[in-house]
Amino acid sequence: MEIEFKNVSYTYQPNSPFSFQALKEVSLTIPTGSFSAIVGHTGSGKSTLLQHLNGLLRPTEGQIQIGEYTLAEKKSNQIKELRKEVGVVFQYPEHQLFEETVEKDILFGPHNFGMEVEKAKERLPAILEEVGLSEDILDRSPFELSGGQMRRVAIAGVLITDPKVLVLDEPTAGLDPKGRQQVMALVEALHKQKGITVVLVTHHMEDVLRYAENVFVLSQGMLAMEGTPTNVFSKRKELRALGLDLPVEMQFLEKLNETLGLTIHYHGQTAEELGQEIAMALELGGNQ
Amino acid sequence: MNQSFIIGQYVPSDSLIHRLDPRTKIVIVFFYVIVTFSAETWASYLILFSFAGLAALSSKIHPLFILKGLKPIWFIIILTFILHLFIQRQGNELFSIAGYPIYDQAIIQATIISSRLFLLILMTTLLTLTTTPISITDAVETILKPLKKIKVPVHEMALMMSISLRFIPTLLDETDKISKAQASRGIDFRTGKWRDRIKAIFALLIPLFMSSFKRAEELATAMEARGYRGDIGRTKFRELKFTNLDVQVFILFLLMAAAFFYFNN
Repeated sequence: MEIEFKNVSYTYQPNSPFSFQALKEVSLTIPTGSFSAIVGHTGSGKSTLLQHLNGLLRPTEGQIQIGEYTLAEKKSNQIKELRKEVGVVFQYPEHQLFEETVEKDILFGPHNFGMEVEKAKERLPAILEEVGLSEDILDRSPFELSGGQMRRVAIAGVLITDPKVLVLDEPTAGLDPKGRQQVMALVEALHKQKGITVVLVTHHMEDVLRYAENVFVLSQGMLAMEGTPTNVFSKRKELRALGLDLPVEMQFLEKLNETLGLTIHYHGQTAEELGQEIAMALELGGNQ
Repeated sequence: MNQSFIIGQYVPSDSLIHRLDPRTKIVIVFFYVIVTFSAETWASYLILFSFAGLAALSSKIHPLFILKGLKPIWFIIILTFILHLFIQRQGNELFSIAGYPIYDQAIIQATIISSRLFLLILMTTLLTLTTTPISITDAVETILKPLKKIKVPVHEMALMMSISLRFIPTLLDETDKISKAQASRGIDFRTGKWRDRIKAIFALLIPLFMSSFKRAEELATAMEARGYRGDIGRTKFRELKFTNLDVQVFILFLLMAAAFFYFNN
């Protein structure tokens, strides 16, 4: 499903002394089947934007087209269908678990959306495998699991409704390096194998560089930059002015260029390719 | 959230009333309430009204803001007035509305009861408008200190009170977050069958309880790590001090009380 924001503004508590405009005329397009990242400083409007993607918030001005659904200021009654198509994994999704067993919790969504619960049940083993959990976990209480397991159960609870768009708000926050890597690998696999449109809100520039195809930079409620990650990260001065930094790989390259007087540009090389390029440049420099 | 609802809200300023010791304010409000209940004559009501009016004026909070903020209470006050108007059946019959007789005593009674209600709420609202919740808690703890002799856990009660006050905004944020997460999983808190709606509330309450328990445990650990062992040997960061201002206000209140009892007979 293609997602298109057309001049979207959102104001919290309009017409009151507490009114606050969190989004200012944002226009952007997230193509079908793409992996897009949304980055920005704290308070830049990322989570406000995210909550528009499944109609938790409706724009106070402008409109949003998500596939066949239109979101504008006035209420629409297709919200439930939209929420089935657009799965949202919130920050610390393990906080939303509440059922007696993991199985019941995962099937909570299908039940609410009026899907055939028996059919959803048949899909349980496949979903569990995708998120990397074993089947014997189904009868346990979600509250006796480890933090990482709980998060995967919560993600499974979103995936079971088979969403066409998956929105993730810092899915790796608070996880150890291994857990981070596993969750990101899962997201990448869903994107590559199932063609799900992924929208990732994150602070990890490394993840943006590694996984995203497009990146949108928000600042003070406005869309400040957009493009491919290599493109956006090549404008490091503008990025730093917005309070953001480069991924560590590119920081390393920047330092290397500075110290040794090299001019290597990053354009999506792998680690090996970069290594060879650096070696070559050093050899050339050594010959002079 | 209803923005016009100001009861329990604190409005920062540096007015005379703000600078008063919270104990002074609590004690005065307490006795004012008791005195109000014994008011019987017009003159005594006039005294009560002028004292409350004086307090409201010197709080430097715009009077319209206070009156508007009492909006949800106006309904109760007016309802009380109307009920008394129809229920009281003493005195002379003045006139009748739709065949229902209205007595002169009823009008007097209705006015008295609704003025009492208005004064009570006005004074308590003034207290919370000009005093931070933390100061109120501190003051309550100091005032109730004598009860410790009969083993009432005054300090613990005050601590519980300030912790609950502190966590109200946190809990509201959390409620918002979880209800949005569950809404994303297709839950609908407003429509649908009753059974589903009760289930929806569980989906909100259970995670809230879980995170509150967890937070309580973490808070307890953090407090112990910083050396908390109850109130024994604990010094205060915010010391309460009576000033000349408090003495003057107390004298003013006593004068008002004396005048009140003089005219109340």
